[in-house]
Amino acid sequence: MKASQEHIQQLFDFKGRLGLASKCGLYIKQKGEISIVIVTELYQDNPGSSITSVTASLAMQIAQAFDISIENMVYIESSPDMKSKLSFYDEEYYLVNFEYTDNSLQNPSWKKLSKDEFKAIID
Amino acid sequence: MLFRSYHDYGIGVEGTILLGLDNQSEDDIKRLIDFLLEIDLDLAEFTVLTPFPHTKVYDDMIRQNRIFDKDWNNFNAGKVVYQPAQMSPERLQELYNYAWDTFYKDETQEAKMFRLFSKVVLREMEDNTYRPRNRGLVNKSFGKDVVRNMK
Repeated sequence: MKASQEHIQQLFDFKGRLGLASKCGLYIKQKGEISIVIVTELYQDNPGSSITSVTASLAMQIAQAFDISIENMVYIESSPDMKSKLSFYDEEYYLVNFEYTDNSLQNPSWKKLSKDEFKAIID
Repeated sequence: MLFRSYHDYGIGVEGTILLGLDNQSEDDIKRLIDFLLEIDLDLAEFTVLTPFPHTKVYDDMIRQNRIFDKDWNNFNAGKVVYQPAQMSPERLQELYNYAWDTFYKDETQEAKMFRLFSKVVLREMEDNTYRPRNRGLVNKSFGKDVVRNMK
């Protein structure tokens, strides 16, 4: 099962738990001052931590690598369509909100987006 | 039924049964155990759903804030470490214990395994394919010497 490449512009190497070498799909879209960041889980092609297990750290690593202002970042996690018969592996999008204190992101919370909500954000 | 066909050919059937899926109610779990007894399953291994890291279920449960136990020693498929969808964690733990106790109420797991193994040996003897096991291997594991505490 391979992850859909629909919202992947590039692969991003990041440090997972305990510094574990990890990989995710990345798509960044600029909408005025707002940077929309879509991070895609790669499942078996990700040798390290899942994007969800280190969300706050990954968001920070992306912001630093691409010089994105945290205040202007809209961060979306994507579980891609795995072309599986199990609905478990259907495409899903989550808008992630963080608390930004002392120059770090903490306490992520996830809101599942419908396809229409997702399209409204990125279009 | 497929089970009967396996049994007709002398093949034992073991089921690994996962408890605590989001679509399972208490009633579903009890009926599932009744069903396993009804179909004469030879052996059953019961586990509770365990959200191991780097699985989809782990990510889903993190997003839903449902994992309440972060002690990895408890991620052993026998302890409930998350909030089930249709019951309390304590109730799922009780049902897990109920599953083991009910399935092996009349005959212990060891006795069932011994009975299955005996069937295999008897069948091999009938087929004239029986070869006595090398008793010297009883204290070996992957080619290494081991000490077994067998009584």
